This record gives sequence, structure tokens and C-alpha cells, in this order.
Amino acid sequence: MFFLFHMSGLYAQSTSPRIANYDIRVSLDPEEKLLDGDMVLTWKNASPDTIYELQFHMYLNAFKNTESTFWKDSGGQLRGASVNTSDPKVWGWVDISKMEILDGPDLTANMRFIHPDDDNDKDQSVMAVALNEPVYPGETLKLHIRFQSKLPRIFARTGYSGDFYLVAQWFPKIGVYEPAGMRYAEEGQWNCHQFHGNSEFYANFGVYQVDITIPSEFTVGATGMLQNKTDHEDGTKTLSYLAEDVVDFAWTASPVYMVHEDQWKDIQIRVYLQPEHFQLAGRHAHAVKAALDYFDRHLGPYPYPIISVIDPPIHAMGAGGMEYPMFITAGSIWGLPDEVRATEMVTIHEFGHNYFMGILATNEFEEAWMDEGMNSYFEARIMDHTYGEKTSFVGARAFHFGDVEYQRQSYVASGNPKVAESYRNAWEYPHGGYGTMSYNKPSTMLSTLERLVGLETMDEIMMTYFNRWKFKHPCTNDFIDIVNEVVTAHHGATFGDNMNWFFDALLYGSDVCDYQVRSIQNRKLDPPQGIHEVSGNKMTYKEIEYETTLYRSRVILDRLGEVIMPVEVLITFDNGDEVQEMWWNDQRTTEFRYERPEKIVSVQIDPKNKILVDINFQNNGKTVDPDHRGLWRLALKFLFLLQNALMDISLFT
Amino acid sequence: MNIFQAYLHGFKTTLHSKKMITCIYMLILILALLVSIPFLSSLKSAAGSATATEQLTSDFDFTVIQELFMYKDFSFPTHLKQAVWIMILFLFLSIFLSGGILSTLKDKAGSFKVGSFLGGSAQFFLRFLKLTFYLLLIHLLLALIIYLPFSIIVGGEMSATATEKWFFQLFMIFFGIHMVLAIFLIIVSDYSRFRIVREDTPKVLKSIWLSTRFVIGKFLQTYGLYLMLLVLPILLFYVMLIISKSFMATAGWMILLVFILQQLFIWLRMAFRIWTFSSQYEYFQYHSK
Repeated sequence: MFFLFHMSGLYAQSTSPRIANYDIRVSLDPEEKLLDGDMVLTWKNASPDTIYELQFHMYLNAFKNTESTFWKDSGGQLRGASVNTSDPKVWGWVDISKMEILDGPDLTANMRFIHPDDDNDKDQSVMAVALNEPVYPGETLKLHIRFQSKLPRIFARTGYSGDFYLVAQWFPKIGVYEPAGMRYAEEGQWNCHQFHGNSEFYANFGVYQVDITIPSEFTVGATGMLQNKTDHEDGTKTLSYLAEDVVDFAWTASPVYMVHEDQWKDIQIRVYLQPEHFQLAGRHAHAVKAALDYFDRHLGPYPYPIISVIDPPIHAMGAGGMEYPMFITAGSIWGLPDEVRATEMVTIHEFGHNYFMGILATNEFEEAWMDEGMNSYFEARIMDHTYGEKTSFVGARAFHFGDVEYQRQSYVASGNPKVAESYRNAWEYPHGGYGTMSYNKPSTMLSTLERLVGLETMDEIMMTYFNRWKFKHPCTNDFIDIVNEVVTAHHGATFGDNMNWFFDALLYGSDVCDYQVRSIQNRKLDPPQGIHEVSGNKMTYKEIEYETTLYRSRVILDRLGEVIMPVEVLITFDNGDEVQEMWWNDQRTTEFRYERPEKIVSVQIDPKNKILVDINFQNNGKTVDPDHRGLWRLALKFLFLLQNALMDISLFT
Repeated sequence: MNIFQAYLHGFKTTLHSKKMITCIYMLILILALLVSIPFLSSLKSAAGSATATEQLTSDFDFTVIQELFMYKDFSFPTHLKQAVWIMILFLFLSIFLSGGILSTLKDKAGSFKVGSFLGGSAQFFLRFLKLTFYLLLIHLLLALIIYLPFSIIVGGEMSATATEKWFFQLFMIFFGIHMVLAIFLIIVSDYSRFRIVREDTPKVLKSIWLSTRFVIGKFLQTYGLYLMLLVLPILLFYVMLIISKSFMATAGWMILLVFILQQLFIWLRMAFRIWTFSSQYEYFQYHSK
């Protein structure tokens, strides 16, 4: 028999379905890099199905050896960081020494590793546990788990480096049971993927109560709010944290942190900085506040009381640029110029994940674009709004670019913008495709959508999506349904019956969009020949004076890519007149003709730069009188640099 | 003669060397144009009659430039390679020219004549080539001796826990030592040339040795003179930086003005080179037996 009780009444009123709740006691042995953990998992079967087995993520086993799926996928590196595999201390793992139903049977012998995604039977990142007694719909299970985790040397988000610790994905974490009808499940099933080189995470909401025991000299930051601190005589201390309605719990420790505190409305901001980066505290705080403010106005309020920002040291940069509820890791470099806003960008980006990964909590394994792509879209909006459209990412006078621009260029200038569709399982992107197809292309796609339907409509789409689906694990179809609903309400049939064509092309398809102006032709019309009646008299055309010369002008446009978009075309004549045309059909080419006294001087496809997914802006416009002054300036700069290089050589001769 | 007198003497000599400076400057301009003109042509070809390039007129535009450089028929690496070849060619040309410069400086009575200049260049070319070869080897060895310990420290256990600030500060120490010694080698190189020209000696290694002794023997004066001679070029560099940051040349005439200022800067750099040679040569003449 195992002890069951219903959860209502145990906790305060919740904003999420608190399905997976953790009460964890953990102590860190800094010498051995070991975590000794004891936890009670309270798991609710919120489905209509009877559950006969549980599945757990054992993420740290990805770093156990080179046989893991993570290692095989990634080659032992992540974002350029790697470790020396000949050093035995670099490896990490998580072991469950005991699992039992609280006051019930021991399930330890029922544990076995499974590999639902591939045939790698050596991968130990997913564990299944058969239950002696099933869990019926609505029932709650309390599991007592004793575990030990060995932290790896940091290269992929979690572990240690020197005396710096970033402790993430460190405990056995129950997977998500999706009943029929949830997301794409046609029948009830565990959604518990292996840890891949390119995947992130997916979990249920719950309450985390975590007690961390650690040597007293460490400063600790964590998900949630510190509730209590107890000092012990053996030189350690225990810190108790509480985090409600979250999908994860991460923490950090370092003896050298300098903490900068700030506030936005009633939300605490704590920035944990390396001493050599403390002068960048203001930049971190400013970026967080800009993000809090922008999200509050354009998506929804941040529901948590605190946000902690962690600044890893240079030797632990593999832990940087990552997100956990109420707890993000950014990254900075000593001496970073104010004009290079890498720190701001990563801070805003990781904070944004609290909305997409943390509150909407989409499945990052299967629909990475919904987290990374949407978040990158908002990151770009916030960066350009806060720091300038053409200067937000790098703002030097002679070299600058904005974040929306950067997102687009990262997509169009990637080695192969057709490498894959954005809608894919994270581990199935071909080499190099994960970043571009889950971050940059969806971000650019959403920026394009925004410019097509207008900012007001786009804001309504995003706010409706957020408010309707927060804490509910939406999927792509849920988002597209809202887009269709809101766009139709605002624009009727302007974009067709729905926007499915847009997502079919850009999310589910891998083709590219590319329109070009092929040519401008102006031909002076010869006066007509022959006889013409004027007031009853026959006259040759030569005898009639024509006041104006007419031109027959023609513009030829081509669609080089497979993606079809509604494109505006602006045609400018030599008297300054402008004519706006629209081209939206499946033809490969089109033309516009005019007969007027003026000649065409220029043609511009998409003059307002709405279609950011167009992979080549260079061919979007043509003029009869090109202005190459900018090119001259570039070439003269090149000349000057080369002359200086030659003079430098003469120093040695 | 003290170093201030040598400094002033060098200035006067430079004033009388405008023709020589201009000829060498023209050579540098022609060599750089050999690469820059094709670069401009490639850019124009890539841009065609696109309207996008108009955005470069008033400001830098990352998107426009990146898409230009991505144009299938434009290859920036090719132009870079051409630039590298020109630099290698100029390395040899510069060795050649230094013979002519020093012959002209030695011949105080005569004004600059292209024939004599080229004769002097040819006369000393092989010896100066050897000299440059030896000194470049010593430069490489110096860099190895200085940066090898640095890379061992950086790549070792310290890299697991050190901060980038610490690495930068450590690098600056090594770099500082390197710069002091590199300047010393450049001074030795210059005085070695003076010795070869004055004595018309084929003994390059002996010249290096004797010049090293000379520079060490008069370390404060020779090093001090060289540093004095660096002051104006460094100031000029900062003036140029301020000018370039203060406005964006958008109109055609502004672009022409910037071009003229840039060329004036190069001409002045060449003038400072002559000034350095002539000041040091004058000091050497007076103090070396």
C-alpha cells in the first residue's frame, strides 16, 4: 500500500497545475563535486489514464561517458566549449540509490534505463520505473528518492569550474505525462525524451522547496525566494528556498560573488557578478528592467517575485547564456565596451525565456522554435526598442547593427538557409541547423508577420497566446490558431481565409523567399505615323505638334524563391511621382507597364522592409542612376588601410 | 651633438627631402591602388544598379555590406590575398628603397636625383636584404622567447580558474617587454644600415654586432631619440582618429576631402620615416668612429 492524498489544501492558491512538486534536501561536497540529495516528489496524475510506470529525466548522465546520446550528438562540446576528457574529474552523473513510495514499497529494483529516441542502449538519461500499484486518475503519489549527483566540469550549462558552481538539471526529474488531446498526443503517453546534444527541456509545473547545505564561505543564488538560513557549527550553512509554479530549479554558488541588488516595481533583481565584472552590474540591471517593462506592456506581467542573474567567470562560460525559472545565466567580459551589447543581449534573451520556457513551458525537445524562436523575436524587439534599431547589438560609429538585423543576417547568411524546416525535433536538425532554424529563422519569420499584420495586431496575437496558454504547455497548432483568430478579427480576408499559408511556407517548409527586380525599361514612344483628322482636316502626324513626349515604361519582377508573399512594389518616376503596386500570386514573374510623360527612375520591392525573410535585399530594388558614393568611401578606406599596412612594414626595413 | 640637435637636424633634412618623400609616397599609392581599384570594381559590379547601396551614402549599413560581400561573384578573400601579395612585394621594395634613402642622406651636398637614388638602392640591396632577414629572424626568436612562457602559463592550470582581467594584465606585461625589446631591435637595424652605408662594408653580421654595442653603449640617447621621434607620428595618428570620428563623408566633395586628408597622413608618415632616418644617421655620424 502506498500513501495517497489529494493535493488541494496543502499549498496556497496556485497559478499553475502543480503536478510535480519537489521537496529536496541537498548538500554539496566541494572537494568531490558531489551532491548528496534526499527528496520527496509529490506527483499528481492529472490525466484520465491509469499510470503503471513513471519516467524520469536523469540529465546529468549525459556527462557520464562518451557513450551517451548527448556526447555522440555533440562530440563533447556545446557552443564551442569542451573539456579535457583525459581528466577523470570532468565527468558527471546522477545515481538513485533508493526510490520508494513514501511509507510504501521500495521501487529501487524496478528502475531501468530506456532510450525512447534512438537505439543507444548505453544512454542513461531516461529512467523508467514500474509501479507495483498503478496511480489512478486524480490520485497523488509521494515518492521518496535518495540520490547522489556528481557535477561535471562545466562545458554544457551545468557543473563546476574551480570553485564556481552552476547546478542545473541536477536531480532526477519526472517527465511529463501527456494524456490524449494534450498537444499532439492521440493517446496517453509519457513525453520524456533523452538528453540530446541540441535539445533542452520540458517539465510540469510544481512547487520546489529546496534546502541547500554548503560551506559558509559560498554565496548562493537560486530559483525562488530565500526563506531561511541556518548556520552550522561545522562551517556549513543551510539555505531554504521556495519556488512556486515553476518547471525547474537551479542554483549557483561561488565564494567570490559580488551581488548587485535592484528593483523593478515589486520585483527584486539580484545580479551575482564576478569581481572583475562588477563594473558591468548596471548594464545587467538595466537590461533586466528594460525586459521586465517591455514584456509587461507587450506580452504579460512577470508573475514571480524575483529574478536572479548569474555572471559566470570566463573559465565557466559554458554555463552562461541559459535560463531557469527566476534564475538566468548571462555572460560578460572584463573591459567590454559600452557599444558592444553582448551582455545586454544575452541578459534580455535569457530573461525572456522565463516567459516562453518558464510560463508557457512549451516542449523544447519537440518544438524548440516556440521557445528559442519566439524568445529571439522578443529579444530583438526589446533590444532595438531600448538601444536603437541599427545600433542595439553593436553601436560603434563606424560599425553598427541592430538585433532584428542580426537575427535576419544570421538566417540569410547562414551556410544554407534551406538546410531544414524550423519545425523539427531539436535533435534532428542537420549539422549546424539547430541555431539558425530554431532561433534566427523563426525570429525573422515572426518579425515579418509583425510587419505584415501590424504591430498592434501582433501584440494582440502574442498577448492572447500568453494569457490563454500560460502554465498550459501549448504547441505550435495552438499558436497558429490564435494567429488566425486575431488576424481575421483585425484584417478580415486581407491575408486570405487564414494565415496557414504563412506558416506552411516558413515554419513547416524549408524553402526560401527571394524576390527581385529584373529590369527597368523606358522607351520613348515615337509619334504616331499616318493621317489624322483634326477639325475635319486631314493632316499628317508630323504637322501636329505634340506638347509632351510619352514613354512606354516597363518593370519586370521575378520570384526566385519558392515562398510566396504579398509584396508591395513602389515605382518612382522622374518627376517624383510614386505608384504603389501589389504582387501576390503564384506566378514566377510579373510586370507593370505605364505610358506616361515620365520615365521610371527606380523600382523597389517591399519598400517598407516588411518581408524580412527575403534572403536577398540587394536585388529588391533597381535604379537607372545608381549612387555608388558609399562604395567609393568603402574602397578608399580599404586603400588607406593598405597604405598604412605598407608603412608599418617599412618600420622593419 | 646631443639628441635634441640630432632631432632638429633631422627635421631640417626632411624639409629638403620633399621630392624623395613624394616619390616614395607615390610608389606606395600606386601599389595600394593596384589592389583597391579592382576592389572598387568588384563592389560596383556586385552592387550593380541596386537601390540598397544608396543607404551606404549616409551611414554604415551592416545588412547592405554583408549582402554585397555575399554576392556570388564578389570574393573579399581574393582581394585580401592580393593585398597580402602587395605587402610581400613591398617588403622587398622597402628594403631596396632604404638603400636609396640612406645614400641620399649621406650625400649631403646633392639634391635628390632619381638616378642616384636608384643607384644607391641597388648598391645596398643585397646587404640590406641579408640584414633584414637576420633581424626578422631575431624578431621571431624574441617573440617566441617572450610569448612561449605566456602561452604555457595561459594554457596550464591557471586557465582553469584565472580571470580574463588577469590574463590581459599578464599579456600586457609580456607585450610591454616585447615592445621595449622590439624597438631596441629596430634601432639596431637602423644603425646597422647606417654603418653599412657609411663604411660601404659587406660585413652585415659585424655591422649588426657593432651597432648593437653602439646602441647599448649609448642606450639612453639612442632609445630616447627614437622615442622622441615617435611622439609626432603618434599625435598625428590621434588627430586622424578624431577627424575620422567627427563626421561622416556623405557628399562627393566630402569624400574627396577625406581622401586628401588620408593621403596627407600617409605622406606625413613617410616624412616622419625620413626624419627618423636622418636624425639617427646624423647622431650616428657624430658619435660613431
